[in-house]
Amino acid sequence: MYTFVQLVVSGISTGALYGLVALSLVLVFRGTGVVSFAAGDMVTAGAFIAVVMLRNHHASLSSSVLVVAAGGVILGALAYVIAVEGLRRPSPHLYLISTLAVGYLIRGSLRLHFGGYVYDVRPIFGGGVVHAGAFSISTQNLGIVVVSAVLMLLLFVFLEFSRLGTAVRATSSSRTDAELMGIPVRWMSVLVWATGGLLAGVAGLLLAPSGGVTPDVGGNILVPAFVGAVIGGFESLLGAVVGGIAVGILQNMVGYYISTSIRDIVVFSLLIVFLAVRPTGIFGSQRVVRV
Amino acid sequence: VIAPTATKPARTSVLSRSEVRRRYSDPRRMLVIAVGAAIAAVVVGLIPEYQTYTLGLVALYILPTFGLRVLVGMTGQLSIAQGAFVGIGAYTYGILVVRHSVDPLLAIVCSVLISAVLGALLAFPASRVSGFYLALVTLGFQYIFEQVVSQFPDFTGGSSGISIPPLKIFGSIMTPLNIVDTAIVLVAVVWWLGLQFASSRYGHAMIAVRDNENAAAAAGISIRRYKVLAFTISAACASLAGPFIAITVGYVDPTQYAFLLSVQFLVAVFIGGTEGWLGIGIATFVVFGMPHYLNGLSTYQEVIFNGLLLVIVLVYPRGLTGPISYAQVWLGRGVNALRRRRHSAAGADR
Repeated sequence: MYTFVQLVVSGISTGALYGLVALSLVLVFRGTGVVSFAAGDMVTAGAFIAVVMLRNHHASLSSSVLVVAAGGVILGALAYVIAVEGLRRPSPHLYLISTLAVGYLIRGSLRLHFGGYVYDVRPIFGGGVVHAGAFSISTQNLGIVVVSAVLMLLLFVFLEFSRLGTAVRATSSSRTDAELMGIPVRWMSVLVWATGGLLAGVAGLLLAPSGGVTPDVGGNILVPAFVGAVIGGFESLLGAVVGGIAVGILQNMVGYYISTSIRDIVVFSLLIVFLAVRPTGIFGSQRVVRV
Repeated sequence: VIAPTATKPARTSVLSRSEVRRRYSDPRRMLVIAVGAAIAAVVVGLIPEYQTYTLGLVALYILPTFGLRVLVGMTGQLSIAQGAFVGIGAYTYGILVVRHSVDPLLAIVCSVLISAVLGALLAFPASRVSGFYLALVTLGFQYIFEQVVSQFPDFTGGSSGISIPPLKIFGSIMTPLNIVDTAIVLVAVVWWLGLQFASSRYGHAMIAVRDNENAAAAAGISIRRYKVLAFTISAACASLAGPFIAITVGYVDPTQYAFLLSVQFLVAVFIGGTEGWLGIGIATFVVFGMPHYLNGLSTYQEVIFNGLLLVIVLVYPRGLTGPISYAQVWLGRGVNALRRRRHSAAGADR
């Protein structure tokens, strides 16, 4: 029982990162109808900004978060302009290619500037361990969960209670109707992509201290994030977060109780299984047609 | 969420039964391809020896791209798992030949068959979804392949892979030049079969599925069956290249058949214009050959190259279809003018 709870607790902190990226994917998909394959590389960009801030400039955590967030916003908006607005004849196939290309541009530029080295970052939340009864969690993992939760809560408040957030939701539910209501839908799309970039960038910052940072870290987190988003139905923001956390916990469980070598195989199979058997995920509504 | 798009005008030209039959049994088709292959083989013979290695690989990469062209161009499906199918071909060959000392030619046949079966199996979940969701299903397949290959070292050699012996045919070892020639023959055969397939009733049924699934179903075409068929063909073409790539490179390991390779195949199909064979062949040379020639700028390579591909896709969403059809029209005019001249000369004689 003790191991079980420990596995769940550490699974939640990995899962929170997947949840953030999945949230970014679903937000962008609902807002503009595009699945961003560049999200993984935005995570990497966030991680490298964190490297520069924390390692080279010895900046504080709060200022690093602000710079990473700003970087994510700029990248997200740029990605929208290039990969979505830039296409002459949009189609899902071409969006796939264009977002992949933007992703590789980001990855390539990072490799160009930083080389293929592994960068280590000091723990951003201190290196301690918090004990709660018999259970313990490292401050690093606790920090990841807290920051992710705060960010998700802020996003929820923004979408539900602000005027701008309502406009974003209106645009997501029907572009034409929103446009007729005088909402500048293009700017809403830019906003959605910028928010997506912010979420991915902060995920990169949180990811940076656990294991080294290389130009490929984001690519490795993208697929579990996709699995999380698909489990959540790719429509629901809450579903993306829950799905991401579920993937994190499942990875730990399979790794511990069965075998680490089939850990990722099980997770990736879920992508196919869910899309084939239950394309609406756990949180999606049945009316959604997968086109 | 996705704004409804206007119904696309049908791209299929309606052909009479006799016209279809005439095109299907047109002997010129085979002749043109055979002559083209012969010219290519002669040109390859003139190229310096050290370049044949890269050339052979690039020529082999045309096979998976052609397979993907059937899937993308004819049924409007999408796959980011083509690299995995090449890998399945290469690994099956390696395991059979090295571990179980199976005859190499038999092993090639086996790897194509196994890959085709796996392609058909993937098609069942894949034919239930389309667009981005289809991309995600195939993405899942690609990553499962990578994990299987790297996590079961007893079976696949793990991260160190398996080293592949050179192929011996009739007692003599195949040189890189022989591999290029084999690749040319394979590409020519697949090209011809592809053209035949596209003008057969199965090909027309597939195009009907691509253009309008409801209309195709109403005409009695089983959508599921044709999607499964397309995935199977695509996987078989991919795995045909696998053993030869493994022989050329000399080993198989998990890094060779990664996600990026699958993306490159897809990009080649889009740059080639999804519906032409020649354009896709040229695009394969651009996508796989050019990084080799850009080696002088290796660190810049990735940035420049992907930037370039992005620009091409953004500016020419139809890829090389446009330029090539212009060239065909231009050539056609030339041929017609020649014919007219000969005709009028014959008339003057009379």
